[in-house]
Amino acid sequence: MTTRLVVTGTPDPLWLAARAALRRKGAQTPEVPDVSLEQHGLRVDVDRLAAYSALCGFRLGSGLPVTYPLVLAFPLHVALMARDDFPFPILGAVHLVNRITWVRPVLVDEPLSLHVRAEGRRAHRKGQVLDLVTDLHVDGARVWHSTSTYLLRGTGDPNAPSIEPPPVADLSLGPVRWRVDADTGRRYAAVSGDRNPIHLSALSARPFGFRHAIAHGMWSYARVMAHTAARMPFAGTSTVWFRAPIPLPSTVRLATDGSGRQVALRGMDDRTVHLVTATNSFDEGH
Amino acid sequence: MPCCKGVAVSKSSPRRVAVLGGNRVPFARSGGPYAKATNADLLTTTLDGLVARFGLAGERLGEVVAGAVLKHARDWNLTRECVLGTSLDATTPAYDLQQACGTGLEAAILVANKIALGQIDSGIAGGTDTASDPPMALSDELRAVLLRLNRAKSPMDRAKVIASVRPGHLTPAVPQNVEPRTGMSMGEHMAVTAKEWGVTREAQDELAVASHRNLAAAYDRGFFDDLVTPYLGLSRDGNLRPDTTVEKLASLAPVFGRGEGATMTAGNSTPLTDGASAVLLSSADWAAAHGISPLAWFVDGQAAAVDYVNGADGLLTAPIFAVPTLLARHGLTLADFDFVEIHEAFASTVLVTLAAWEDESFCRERLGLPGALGSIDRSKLNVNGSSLAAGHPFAATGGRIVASLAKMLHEKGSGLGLISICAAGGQGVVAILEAA
Amino acid sequence: MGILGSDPYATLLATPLGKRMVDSFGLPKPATLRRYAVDAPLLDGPALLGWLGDDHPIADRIRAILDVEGVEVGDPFDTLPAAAVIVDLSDIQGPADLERLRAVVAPSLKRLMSSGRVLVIGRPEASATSAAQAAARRALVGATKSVAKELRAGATANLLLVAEGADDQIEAAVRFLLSGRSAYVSGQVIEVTGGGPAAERTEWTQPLAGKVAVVTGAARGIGAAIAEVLARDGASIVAVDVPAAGQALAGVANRLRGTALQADVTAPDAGERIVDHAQLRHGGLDIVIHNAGITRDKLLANTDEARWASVIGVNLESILRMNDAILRPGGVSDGGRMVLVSSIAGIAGNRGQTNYGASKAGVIGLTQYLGRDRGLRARGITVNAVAPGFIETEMTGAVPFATREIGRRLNSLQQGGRPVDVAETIAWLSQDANAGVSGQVVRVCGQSLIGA
Repeated sequence: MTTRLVVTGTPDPLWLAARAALRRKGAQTPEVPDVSLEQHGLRVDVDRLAAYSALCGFRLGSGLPVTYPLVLAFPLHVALMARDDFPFPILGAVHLVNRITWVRPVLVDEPLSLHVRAEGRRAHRKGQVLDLVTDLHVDGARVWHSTSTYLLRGTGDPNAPSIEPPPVADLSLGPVRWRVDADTGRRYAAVSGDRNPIHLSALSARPFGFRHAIAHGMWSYARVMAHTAARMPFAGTSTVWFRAPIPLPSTVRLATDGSGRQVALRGMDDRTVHLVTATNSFDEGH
Repeated sequence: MPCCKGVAVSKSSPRRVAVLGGNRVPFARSGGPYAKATNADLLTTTLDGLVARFGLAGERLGEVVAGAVLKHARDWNLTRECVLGTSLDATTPAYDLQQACGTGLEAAILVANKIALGQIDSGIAGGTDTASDPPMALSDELRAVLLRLNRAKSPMDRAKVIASVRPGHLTPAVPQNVEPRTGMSMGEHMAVTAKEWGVTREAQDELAVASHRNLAAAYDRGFFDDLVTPYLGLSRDGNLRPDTTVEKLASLAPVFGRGEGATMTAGNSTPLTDGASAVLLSSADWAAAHGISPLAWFVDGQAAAVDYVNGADGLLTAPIFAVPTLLARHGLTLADFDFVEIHEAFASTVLVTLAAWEDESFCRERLGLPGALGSIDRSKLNVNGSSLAAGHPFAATGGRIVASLAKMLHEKGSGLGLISICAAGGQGVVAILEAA
Repeated sequence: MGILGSDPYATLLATPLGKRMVDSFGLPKPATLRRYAVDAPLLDGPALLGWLGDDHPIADRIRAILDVEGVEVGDPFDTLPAAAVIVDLSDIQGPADLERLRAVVAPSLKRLMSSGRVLVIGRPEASATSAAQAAARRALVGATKSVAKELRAGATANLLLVAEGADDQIEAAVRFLLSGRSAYVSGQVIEVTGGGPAAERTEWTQPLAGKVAVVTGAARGIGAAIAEVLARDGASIVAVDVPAAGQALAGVANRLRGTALQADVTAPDAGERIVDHAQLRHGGLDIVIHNAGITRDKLLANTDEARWASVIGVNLESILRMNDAILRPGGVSDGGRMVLVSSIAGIAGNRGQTNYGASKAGVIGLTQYLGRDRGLRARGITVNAVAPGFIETEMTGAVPFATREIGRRLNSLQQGGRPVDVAETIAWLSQDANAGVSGQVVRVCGQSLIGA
């Protein structure tokens, strides 16, 4: 039976994460907890939204950026992952893929309900994956939905289905280049609350095997979505495949299919693909 | 129109310029609902609303001209950057313009002139301002240090430069609402002028109350349904106080001027405001081809300036001089206008303007007229409210007034409208619209 | 953090035992419905076509449509998979002829592909010439609805009644019912009453090309989806919504290259403003979709005058008032189309929605009245309604959780519909080629058990 936990305060992601990181728990727990964490009557803080919009390049309008509900849901994600019965450790899980579906734009002044649960733990070639599923309801109806797929590296199953983005060879590199500043991780941490040490500084990233701090995947995804915002469908689905972290600082290049529906962020070399996104209008199927 | 025999002039004969409509966001008190919205946010939103109202998505217009009085250095190409973020075709040219509070109206005059000359067929004139997000500059001292740091070659040199920073250098330069040449704020300037003209507190408060009531009534009858697009939860101007009364305003303490004769309060002065506006102008042919019926014709515009530093004129009195010039050019008198829109920077600005035009000796001596310019029937003045009620995001006021006046003239079906806007630096921009 | 008690029904479904119960009844696991795409074929596989009698003009017409669309017409008694089974029983004379329905459809059902179509053609019972014929014609209704409940995997069954003399006006309806446009329409009886002008050649990928369509309540939800689908089918869009929804409205209009009109549908001049705007900006007005609606739910015992008046005012009275301007000459063009959005609540009623149910039933009455109006028929104007069932959008969100979960499940397709499903039905009713359908109420409900 699904236990529905209604979160009434604002959980502090930093505290939860720190507590969870200290208590080493078994990645061997077989099941994902059958728990739905919920928050009701949530209001968008326009100041915070403005800071997020400015950092990612969105214009502050009456509709939320499609990526923004994940910022709102971040404390619930952490609260769920910090539970003793959650099978993955909170630090070290890799965000592989994220798929967002929206039925319509979510407006800044609407009261929101968030529902977060984990499901679909399954084998991957490099370990285990599971999905954090986030639903956003307005007036009780789901208007926005996200599936965030995380990988925990370990003994994998070579026969497991792979999670591959569409090919990027057809995407052409245009003139768009973005300088990603050294403090991008710290600035995104401040607006998103995601203070994972791998994003903050080279020093704090090193214990986790990174020579540099790396940009938040969700920042780079949001930056791409902001760039193509004028061509977003009213209702649709957007998927991002995170391929390679963006070291800080660095310069990235944008490759698109011309319509802005498919985009790749590439490095300055010819090999590196940082992420790939694909966006479809709701009725084009997915 | 001067003409030269034997030269083909048909191309350059001026065309009539149509005002097709406008859009703005509700104006918000500074630090309120739009506290975190930038000029680019406000202007992009406003342009997109205008584009939607007239079905211009994907369309290339002749140009978009807009500006902001308080502008960040990063917004050096504000209007063009905003156009790129809208649904307009990305090949629509755009540029910034700034003439203090006259920005919006001056932008409209510029676009109208280009249309009249046949250089463009359509264009948007607009303006945006946010007093909530003012640009702050580094102190001159700190800028000098940073430039030196940039040039420093060795770590030692850099360390030396950094060591030269003093705490005082870190104080930013904040834009101030004062005239650079006098150090006086606009309100203080106006207080002097108001005192000179003997404008009473009661008259100012009555004008303010009328502004609030007129604006509220216009909202109630749906006048702004096709002029305003809500933004960030605000659907009416945040400064609007429909229930204000002369009694309530009388209780406020003066904020400008000193002592006995001080009459200017927060109630009869405009507050700092955030907002943006935009107006769509075109040739008659372009309007017809797009199935848009003009609301009004943009007849003509005029700017004037006064020497408020060394001369005898008040900072905000330049429209008093601009209007007679414009009227003379068209053989019109004040009585010929069905609507008069005088921007209410302060209630006293409007009252001084009216008083000056009624003052025979002033008109004779200063305006070079044979007698008084005339008086304006109060029932024709700011009939749907003005800046005291709506607020005054500097560069956005011109667009607000042009669009509203055009609609008023269209609703009436005939007649002329006059716009008068005072601006910092002793300037004034005025214009005439005619019902279409 | 605290724990919120869940409602018993949802809890039941969430328990392992509940899940097993649901599984053993063979209920959920909803199929992915085949939905329309511009470049999608009419059907994904061959169609089986059966008929009654020697002379079968309707079956011939349908075969012609299938030929044009490159759909292979298979043998009803073959065993290969089929995307549709169509049986023309327009010539049915008495109960004995019903065997033909069984004979054609029964063996086909096992071969029916997912999102397959069962289309039964009959005649209206009202024009039957014998008691036996009336009985048999009516029997098709019960048979089709039962078949719809037997189907699985997103397949639908519908009955198309063709009035005598309207045979040449069925093409739009046939195409609609076979295509993915009718994904969430099942168990319905649709009548082609005829009386419209003979359909001209239609460009079926852009059936609304050159048309000007007004959609009220277009800023979000079903209204935005309607605007989107009408634009996709070629119409120029006037998107109307209240001034307070202006920014969302601007987004819809700009994306669809249409125009936004901020207007309150209850304003006395709303109809004139809509007509003026469409005529002036777009040079005409061909399609009007009355979609704007609100809910103010409360048990009637607790419903005050304001809650009552606002719902009746927005959902019903405003349409009557706007129609004064829209339906008079100079408003909607001759040959125009009007579609009203009703609701399943207007058919079945809904606890706590007395005001809403009243208004939406009123919409049906209005539609049926206008659909019969001789003046409008003479001008070639059709008036129809759609009644959405459980559609995943914010309006249904006001329904309590348990009712909503039941609503989602209690239909033959075992899932909620999407706004686009309602929009597709409206777009079909808006086609020129659909001149023969007027005064109809088409439920877009996946054959909901509610109000069936």
